[in-house]
Amino acid sequence: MRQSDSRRNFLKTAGATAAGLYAAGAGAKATAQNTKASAPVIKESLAINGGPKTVTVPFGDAAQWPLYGPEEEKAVLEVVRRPGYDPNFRLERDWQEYYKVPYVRAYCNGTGALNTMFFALNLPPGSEIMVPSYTFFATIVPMRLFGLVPVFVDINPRTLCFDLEDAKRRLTKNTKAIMPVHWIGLPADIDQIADWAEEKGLILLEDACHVHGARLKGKLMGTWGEMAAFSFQATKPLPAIEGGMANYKQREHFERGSTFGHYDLPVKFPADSKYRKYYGCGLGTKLRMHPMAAALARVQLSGLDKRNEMITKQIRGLNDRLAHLPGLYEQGNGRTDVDRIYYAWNMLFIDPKEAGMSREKCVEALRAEGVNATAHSYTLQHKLALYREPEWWHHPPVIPELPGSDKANATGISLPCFSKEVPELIDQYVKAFEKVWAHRDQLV
Amino acid sequence: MKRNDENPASASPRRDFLKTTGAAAAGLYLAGAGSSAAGQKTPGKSETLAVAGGSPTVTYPKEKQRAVFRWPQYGQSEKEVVRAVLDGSQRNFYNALARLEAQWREYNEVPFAKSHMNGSSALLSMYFALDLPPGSEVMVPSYTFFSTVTSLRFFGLVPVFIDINPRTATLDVEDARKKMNPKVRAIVPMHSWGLPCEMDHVCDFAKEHDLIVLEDAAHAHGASMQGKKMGTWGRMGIFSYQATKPLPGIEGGMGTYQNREDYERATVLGHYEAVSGNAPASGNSGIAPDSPYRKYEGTGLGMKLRMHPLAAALILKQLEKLDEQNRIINSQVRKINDRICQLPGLSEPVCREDQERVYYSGNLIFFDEAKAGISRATAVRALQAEGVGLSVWEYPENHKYALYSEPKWWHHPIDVPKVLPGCEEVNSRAINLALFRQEAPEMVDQYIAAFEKVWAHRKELA
Repeated sequence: MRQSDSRRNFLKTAGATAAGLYAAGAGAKATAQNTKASAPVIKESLAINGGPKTVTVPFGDAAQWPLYGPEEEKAVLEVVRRPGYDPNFRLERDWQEYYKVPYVRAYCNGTGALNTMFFALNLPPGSEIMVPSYTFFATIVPMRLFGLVPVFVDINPRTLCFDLEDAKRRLTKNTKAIMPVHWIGLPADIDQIADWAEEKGLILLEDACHVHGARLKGKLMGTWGEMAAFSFQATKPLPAIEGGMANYKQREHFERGSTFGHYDLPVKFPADSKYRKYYGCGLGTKLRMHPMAAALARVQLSGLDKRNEMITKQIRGLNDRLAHLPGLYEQGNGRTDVDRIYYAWNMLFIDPKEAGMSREKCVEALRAEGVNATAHSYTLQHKLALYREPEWWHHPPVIPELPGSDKANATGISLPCFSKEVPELIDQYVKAFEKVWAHRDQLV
Repeated sequence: MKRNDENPASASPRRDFLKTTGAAAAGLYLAGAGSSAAGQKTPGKSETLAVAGGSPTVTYPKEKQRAVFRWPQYGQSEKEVVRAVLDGSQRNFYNALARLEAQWREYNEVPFAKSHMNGSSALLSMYFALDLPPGSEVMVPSYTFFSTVTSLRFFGLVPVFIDINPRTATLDVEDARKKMNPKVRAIVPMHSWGLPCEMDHVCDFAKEHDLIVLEDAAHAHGASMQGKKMGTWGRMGIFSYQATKPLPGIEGGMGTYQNREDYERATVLGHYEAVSGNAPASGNSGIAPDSPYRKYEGTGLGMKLRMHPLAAALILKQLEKLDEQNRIINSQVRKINDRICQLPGLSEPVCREDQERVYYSGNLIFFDEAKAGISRATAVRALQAEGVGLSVWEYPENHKYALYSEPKWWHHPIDVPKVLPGCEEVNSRAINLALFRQEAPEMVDQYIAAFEKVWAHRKELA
C-alpha cells in the first residue's frame, strides 16, 4: 500500500516480503523465507468461498469511543453537585494554553463555532467562500444565514483534503475567504493554501473539527487560519458528546463571533469594544456549551496527545504492514512535515486495476474474513437539494463536477479506527488482507 | 433580576426565637394595625430591628438554608443517570433525546415535541417554522429573555414590543390591542416566572386579528390553565431547561407543536440527523419519509441544535419529580405569601382560579410604597438584616437595548416604544423573595416573622 504521493519502503517486514509475491498473483510460489509468516493463510480458501475466517479474535471494544474513565466521571459529577458555567471558562483557559492563539471561545458544538466565524467575517451579502463539498454540512450550510454563498472545491481523492489546484480554477471575483477541512485527522496543505490565499487577498479559515492536536511543520492545525472551528461531538478526537470551540486571531472576530452566541459575555470585553453594548441581548442566539461537556472536554484535553499517539500506533501498526499490497493506498499526502492524527475511520483506497479486483469484491471478501471493512462513500454536499434551490441563497451556488470527490467515493475502503492496543487483531487483519490479495484472482 | 438562589440569605447569628411569634403577631398587622397593637405582647414589635442593632429574625442554620435555596435540587439519582451515560453501556448517546421527546409529549398532551440545545434554539426553530414573509411583525413582551426577541432577526421578522400588565408581570393584551398594525402576524405570550398569561384573552385577541399564537413557556414547566398545560395553547410553544429553570438540565430546550408541518420545519433548521432518518425510529423524533423536508437530508438548513445527551438524562430524571417539586415550592410560597401579602403595601401577581401556576427563580412581590409607608429600598435593607433572602426586583426591558434601535440589524426599523409603563412599574415596585425548594416550615415561620417585625417597626424606618 502506498500513500498518495510517495511509495513506502515496504521491504523490511515479513508481510512485505511475501507481498511481492502476491502482487504478481504468485502466492502459491511462496518461498521458504516467507512461508513461516503467511503460509497458513495462503493455503486456506477465502472465507467467502467457504474457507475458514481469518479474524477470530473478537472485535469487542477495539474501536470504543469515547474513552471515558474515572476522571471524566468525577469531573462531570462535580458539575451535578455544583451546577454552573465555570467549567466553560476553565476549558477555554486550558485550550488557549494548548493552542496558544490570541482568542478562543467555547460553543455548544462545532456548527455553533462555524456559525460565529461566518458572522464574524462581516462580509457583504453575496460574498463567496471556497469550501470542499466532501465535508459535513456545517462547513457550508450556516453561510446562508449571513447571505454568504459556497464555492465548491474538489478534494484530492487520496488525501480527502482540499485540492488547491482545483481552487485556483474556481476563484471568482466574489470569493472573499477560503476554508479547507482537515479531513479525519489529516492536515490539508494549509501552508500552500495560505500562500495562495494571501496572494489573492482571501481570508483563510480552517475547519479543524477532525484534527485536534495534529500539526503541519510543527504548527497546530487550527492556528494557521484567521479563525478555526473545532467539534467535540461524541465521535471526535476530543469527545465531549456535544461541544465546540473556535480559535480567533483577531480581537474583532473574537468579539463579534462571541456576541453572536453569547448574550452574557460582551460585558467582559474591554471598555472600547464596539460589541459591549450588545450585552444582554447578543446579536443572534445562545450557543453556550453545556458545562458538563466542558468538564468532559477539559479532562479529555489533558489526555489528547497520549490518545492520539496510541491510536496512531495502532493504525501505523496495521497500515505499514499492508503497504506492500498492490493497488491499495491509504489516506495520506506523503509529506514528512505532517504530524497527523486519526479519527473515525482508517481510510484506504483501492485502485481496482492495480489490485486486479473491484472494490466491492474486495470488501466482500475482507468482510467474509472478519475484517470490518466498508465500501466508503461520503455524502457530497454539492449534490444535495438545498444547494439547487435558489430560495435559500443570496444567489445560487455553482454546482460543479468534482471528479476527485467522486473518485474518493468510488474507491474508498474504511476500516475501524482502533482506539485500544489490539496487536492480535491487527495481526489477523494483516493476514486477512494478505489472504484476500493472495487469492484475488478468484474475486474477478 | 438578581437570582436569590445564588445569593441565599446572608449569615445571621444563631439565636432563640419563638417559632410561633410571627404567627401570633400576624393577626394584628393584617389591617396595618401593627403600631396600634398596644398592650399586646408582640415580640415582633418589642424586639429591635436587626438593621438598628437588634437580633436577626431568621436563625435557621445557614447550611440548612442553603439546602432549601439550592437549585437545581440534584441528588443521588441524577448522579446515577449521568454515570450511566458515561460508562459506555449506552451505545447510542442520542437515543435519550427521543425518549425525552416522547415523555414530554405525554406529560403535556401535545402531538409533537422536538428537543433542542436550549430554549433559545427552540425559539429560533419556532420562528423558522412560522415561514412568514420577511418584514412580518411579531408581538413580544419587552419583559423577557433576549432570545424571545433577538431570534426574530434571523428570519427578517421584526418585533413589536408589548408592555406587561403590572398586576401580573405578563403580556398586557390591552397594550397589544393598541399596538396592532397590519404587518403583525403573530403574538408571543410569555408565562413569566411561572404565571400563565391569560390565554383565553390572548387567544380571543389573536383570533380577532388572525394572529398566530406562540407561547414562550421557558419559565412554566407544569403550569396550566383550565387544565391545559402551558406550551400547548399556542400553535407552537417553547421551553428552556437551563440550570435555573423549573425543570433544569443545566442547558436544554424543547419545542411543542400542534401540527406536523410546524414540527418538521422547526426540526429541519437544526437537526440534520432527524431529517436524514438517522434519529431513533421510535416516536416522531425523525421526519416522516413523505415529508417535503425530507430532501434536506444531510444538510438541514443551517444550524445544529441538538441537545446534549447528558442534559437529556438529567431532564428525564427531573421530569419524574417535576410535579412534586412544583408542589413543594408552591406550598412554601403560599404559606409565606398568604401571610405577608396581608401586610400593608405588599401583594403578589394575580393568579386566576382557573390557573395553576408554578414558580421560577423568585417569588415576585409587589411593593406599594405609599401603602407600606416605607420605601422599597429601606424595607429590603431591613429585611435583609433580619436574614431574609430577598432583593430589589429588576429585570431588563429588552426594548431599551441598543440592538433594537439600530436599523442595520433588522428588515425594517423597529418602532421602539419610549416607555412601557407596566415594565417600569414592576421594576420600580417589586421585590424578589427567595424560593424555598424544600419543605422548611421553621424557616417559613421565621420569614413571616421577619416581615411582620419590619412592618411593625416600619415607622421607625420611614
